[in-house]
Amino acid sequence: MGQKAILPTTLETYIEIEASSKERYEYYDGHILAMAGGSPEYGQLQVNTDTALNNALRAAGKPCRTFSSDVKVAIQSVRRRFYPDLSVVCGPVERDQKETQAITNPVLVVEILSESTESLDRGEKFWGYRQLSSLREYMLISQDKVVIEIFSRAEDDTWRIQTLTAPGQTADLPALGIRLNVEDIYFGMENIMN
Amino acid sequence: MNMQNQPLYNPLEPWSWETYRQLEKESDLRYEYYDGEIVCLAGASNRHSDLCTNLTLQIAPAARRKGCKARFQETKVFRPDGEKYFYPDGVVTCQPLDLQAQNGVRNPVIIVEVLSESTRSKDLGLKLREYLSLSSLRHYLIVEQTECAIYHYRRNAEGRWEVVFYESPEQTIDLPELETRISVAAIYEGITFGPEVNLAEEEMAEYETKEVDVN
Repeated sequence: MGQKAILPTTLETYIEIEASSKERYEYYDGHILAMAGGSPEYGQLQVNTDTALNNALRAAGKPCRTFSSDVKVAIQSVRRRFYPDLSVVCGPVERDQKETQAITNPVLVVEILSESTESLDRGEKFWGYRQLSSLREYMLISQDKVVIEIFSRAEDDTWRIQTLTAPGQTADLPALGIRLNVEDIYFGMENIMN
Repeated sequence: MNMQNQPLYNPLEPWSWETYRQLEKESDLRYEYYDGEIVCLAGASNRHSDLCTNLTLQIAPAARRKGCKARFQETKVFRPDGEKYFYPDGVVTCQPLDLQAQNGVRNPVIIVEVLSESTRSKDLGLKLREYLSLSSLRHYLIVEQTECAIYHYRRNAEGRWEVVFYESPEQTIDLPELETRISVAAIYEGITFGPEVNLAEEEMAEYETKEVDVN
């Protein structure tokens, strides 16, 4: 999703704003950033990925749940609060103590890339999510062409990378024990699949 | 690369490959080309140059010992299979043809980019994908300018890409192809992370006048 101006704010004020405002904001260690809406492609990729994840998790009988982009992830250690495009928690959901709306233990975070947020998703946000010991997989999905990148955490904090660029390929999410088909994620987007 | 991301032309009608080749031949400026888009590379900040100098000092001697060459700031990398040209901040090649050739590198082993605000999107996105698809490439190092942070994309023993992140000066970056390890501290030696100090034009003028007085 797109993002707008950055404003200096304390965490306490941020939590108050979030509780009372219709707009959603992310928190970056003393600054807040308003979230903007997404393109039709963004919306479709999000729903497609959500469906693919849920179907695969249920079929595999995994005790995991998928959360939409309305659910915030709190990263206390580096004072960041982000809204991922999708997140998955396995087992009991842990909530932030100051802000019980926010979760703190995603195994997978999905971000759908747009031109305005790509460097944030690859830079600061990935850095923030990496601080969560629960995070095992980070998935980036491109809107303008078929490119899915999955970063899977291995021992010694190395992240293995899979890059998928064609229908027929499958994305392996080892920490969740499931695989996703590229054509399911880009379902209905034939214009960019060819 | 440190450059202003300013497409020279409204990409409603993309630039042709031939036009780009002609432009590169005739102009003293450097341009990158990716599928119809031409981007002019502008000058770099001093901190960007200082980081490139440190990287050169660390990488070039090791490259030379292995019969390879490290080329910083001026060398073009191009994809053999596509109409794309890039000027990374640094490139190492060990391939005999590349070592002799005067016009760019086709088989890089290592590519280095120092991030700046105007280029980070491309360095972390489009260029990252292009670089990682080069079959010769073993390492892509992305170096932050405003904090101690390095992204190290590397091919593992099975030929698959993985990434490690360095944030501490005590860490070292292993480059087995050059049989060397670089310390993060050495890359950031003498670098300060505060806001960039830019001399205003009046200060520059004053400085120049003083120099004339001395002479």
